Amino acid sequence: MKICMLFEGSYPHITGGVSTWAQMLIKNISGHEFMLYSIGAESKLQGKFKYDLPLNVLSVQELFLDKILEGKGRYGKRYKLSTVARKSLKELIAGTDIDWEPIFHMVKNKTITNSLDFFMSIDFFDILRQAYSERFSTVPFTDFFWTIRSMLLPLFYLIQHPLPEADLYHSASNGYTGFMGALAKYMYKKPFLLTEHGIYSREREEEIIKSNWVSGRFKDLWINFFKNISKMVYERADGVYTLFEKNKDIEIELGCPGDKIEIVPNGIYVQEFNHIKPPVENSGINIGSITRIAPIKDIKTMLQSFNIVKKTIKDAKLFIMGPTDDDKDYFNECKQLVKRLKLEDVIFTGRIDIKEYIGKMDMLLLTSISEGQPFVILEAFAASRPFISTDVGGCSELLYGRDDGLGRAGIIAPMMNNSKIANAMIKLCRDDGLRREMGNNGRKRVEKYYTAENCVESYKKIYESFG
Amino acid sequence: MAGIGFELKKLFKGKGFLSNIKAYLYSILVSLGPFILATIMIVSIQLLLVSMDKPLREKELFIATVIYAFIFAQIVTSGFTMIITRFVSDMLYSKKLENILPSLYGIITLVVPITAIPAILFLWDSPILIEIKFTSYVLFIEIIITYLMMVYLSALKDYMKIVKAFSWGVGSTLILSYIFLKFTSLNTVLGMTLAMNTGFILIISLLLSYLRGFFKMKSTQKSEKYFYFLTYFDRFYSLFFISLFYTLALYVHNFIFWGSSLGVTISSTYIYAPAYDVPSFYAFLSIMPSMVVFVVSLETSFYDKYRAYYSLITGRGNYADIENARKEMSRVLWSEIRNIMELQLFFSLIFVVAGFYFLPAVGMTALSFDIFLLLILGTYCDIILLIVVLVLLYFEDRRGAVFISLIFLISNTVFTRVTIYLGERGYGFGFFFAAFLTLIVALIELRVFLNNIHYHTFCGQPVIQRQHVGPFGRMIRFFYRHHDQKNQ
Repeated sequence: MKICMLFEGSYPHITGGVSTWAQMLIKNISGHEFMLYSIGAESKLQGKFKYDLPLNVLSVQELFLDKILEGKGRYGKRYKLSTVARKSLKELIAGTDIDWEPIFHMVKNKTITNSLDFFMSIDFFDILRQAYSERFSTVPFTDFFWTIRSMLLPLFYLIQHPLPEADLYHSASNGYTGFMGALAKYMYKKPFLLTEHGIYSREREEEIIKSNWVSGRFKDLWINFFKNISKMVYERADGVYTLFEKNKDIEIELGCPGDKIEIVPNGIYVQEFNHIKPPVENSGINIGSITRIAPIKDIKTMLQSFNIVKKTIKDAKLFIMGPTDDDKDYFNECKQLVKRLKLEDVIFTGRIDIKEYIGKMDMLLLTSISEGQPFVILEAFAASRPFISTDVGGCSELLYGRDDGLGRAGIIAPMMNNSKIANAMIKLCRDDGLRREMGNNGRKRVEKYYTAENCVESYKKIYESFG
Repeated sequence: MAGIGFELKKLFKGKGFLSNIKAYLYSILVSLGPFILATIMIVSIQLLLVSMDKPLREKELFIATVIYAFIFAQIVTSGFTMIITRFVSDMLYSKKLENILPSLYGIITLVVPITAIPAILFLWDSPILIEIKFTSYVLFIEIIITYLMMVYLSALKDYMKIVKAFSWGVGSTLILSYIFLKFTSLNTVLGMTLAMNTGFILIISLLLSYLRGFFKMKSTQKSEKYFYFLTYFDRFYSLFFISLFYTLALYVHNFIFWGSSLGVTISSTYIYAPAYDVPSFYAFLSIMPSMVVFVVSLETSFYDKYRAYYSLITGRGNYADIENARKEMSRVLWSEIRNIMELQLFFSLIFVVAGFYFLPAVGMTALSFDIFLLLILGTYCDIILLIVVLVLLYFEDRRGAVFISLIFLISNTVFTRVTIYLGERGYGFGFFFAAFLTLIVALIELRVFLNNIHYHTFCGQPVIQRQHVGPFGRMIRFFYRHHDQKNQ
């Protein structure tokens, strides 16, 4: 079977959870052939793959949104759009309930061959003006105009680069790739599956709310836009897969029919961690965090919490293990914070081999403000190490289990809460029995539910059922 | 990822919208200067020649020389002047004054050799005295330089200085002519052209020293980017053609008549058709009042509305406000155009009446007078047409403007040829019909454009704002790469 897999900002250009998952899946489902459709932000990544592509990858179609900037539009073109298509486009702009059928129909008929021409046409202007007068008549028109143009641009750009024909479409996220998957289903009448690691429209919403490139009313416009796309993708997908229970609830809330959703957790190769020995006794407490240095990981809270720990546990060390070049400013701020707190025994190791370092740790830690189902927790479990994590994404499900009777494998603390996170660390530092127990619980849990074999097997079955 | 979309977002910049509106206006107004100057010079020298009883042949050769020089200088510079008008006004607006004066040297260096070739070829085989050929050529080049300089002068808006320079030039030409005729045995035509050469040298020197003083005082930096203005050909090449087509259209009917049975050849060199050219000259004079009134009226009432409209667009106005501003602007514009049409009608009638008494007295034939009446009508359409084209240029509708000027050129060529084929009774109808047809097209274009102006204003903006670098831009970049490195 030929499976077209779609990625946005991940495989094979960028490392991370989705990419690790994708590599594992493609490599192990060798019975099928894969065609990749990968959307990235910057074309400088073109051809620079972070993974050795498995042999069953037939092709990689790379699309970079900064390429849009190279396009050129001609002004004054006219389009024959049906009344329903106009109505749908207007709904898309206004963010009301959208009837997507005419839009897909329009794409299929190749009505719009160059999106830039379309954005410079009077037909587009009229539709935009109508949407404006119906719902936004008090906002500055110029701002509205440019917001809509930039909002629709990536979508229309992608439409011009259709997916290859395949037996099955599988998108690794909602949003633009989800849209393209749904479009492919419409055009080729083939099944379309969606796997959501993180909830796309939620992530966009958080970004947009925080951003300063968009203001007031226009934030709603953008958020609505992504919500509408997500909802359409949920409705049109033949199967929706996510990593953990909490995500499923959010998806249902966002308009996904619940009976479509199946939970397929991440998995790792547990046996690869068999050689890792229990921590060495009496050499001080090593707390490890395998994470890139980035605001979303909230390293500052981690440092503040460790500062509290340090007051009582003098021989504690904090190893922050992961790339520091992701957000250099943030890394510098973190280093300055260490200096200001006069905090000792904080080691930024940079990029390291996890399997080599994890054995030296007594416990592992994450203080992120957003996570899906982190591989580092699974890896810590495989190494029989207890884990402390903030209560985000699927972390508590991992640490406390879904009533599986295996017991706790770590401690969950509220995010951005220095003292509670510190207390959790202190508690584990002081009780090596608890550390051992939690570590063992983790190992059992990962062996039972979160193996790569399970994950691969699940998707094999899913593919087969649609094949 | 969502951020990517917004990296594309660049809001309107106020720049460019209001800056160059008036520039076209002033340049039109100021370019009337050489025309008036030419008229005064020719008429005065003619009177001088008549009073001294010089042979008709010499008189004719002199007038033909001067008229050819003026007409062809206007045609060859027309495209360039429009581009540099835009360039100068942008440089003034963005306060890059140091780039202005070098561009004057640059454009002169560019245009003079280009025009030298056809001029030399034209004079090469002519039986005229070699000395006269030389002075005629110099006169042609001087007039070209003067036309080019007018653009820069119009930016300064110190009209008194310009009038002064021209007065000195005209004055000294007349005095020299008198001296040459009265006290030397110089060939009449040689003497007259030599006098004009001197007069123009004086005008150019005075204007140049004035320009140099002005820009030296205003600009702190020094620039050697003589050909930087060429980059404007990439973006505004249509301006070149708008101006060139329009100017050609203004003269093409004359050229066609030169080739007809009305054509007269002077010294086996200059062809012209006095029976047609003289009435077209008088007819052309009738538009002067409208030009001035137009400049003034657009300055005041229309400009305010125009600015209000674009300020709402750049300044966060909602659609209802923008639409109201459009209606108001449109209303004022049409009422101004109506006013000018009425006013010009009045002046045209005065010209007809004056011509009725005056022209036969100066020896105009009945045929020429009939042509005069038709050309007055044609010129009437032509001036309104010019105003509409200028208005379209304020709205950056260069596409419409180039279309209109091309229609004018083509229709005038075709119709005039047809009238020649039809015979004397049709003479003059060609230009009139062409101007009338083009005026209708222009009015429709303006109407349609104003109705859709929101669309043009918004969607005419490229989806992705970027510096477009065309062939000229790349060339300039290449030439100035060392220059920029030095400055950095």
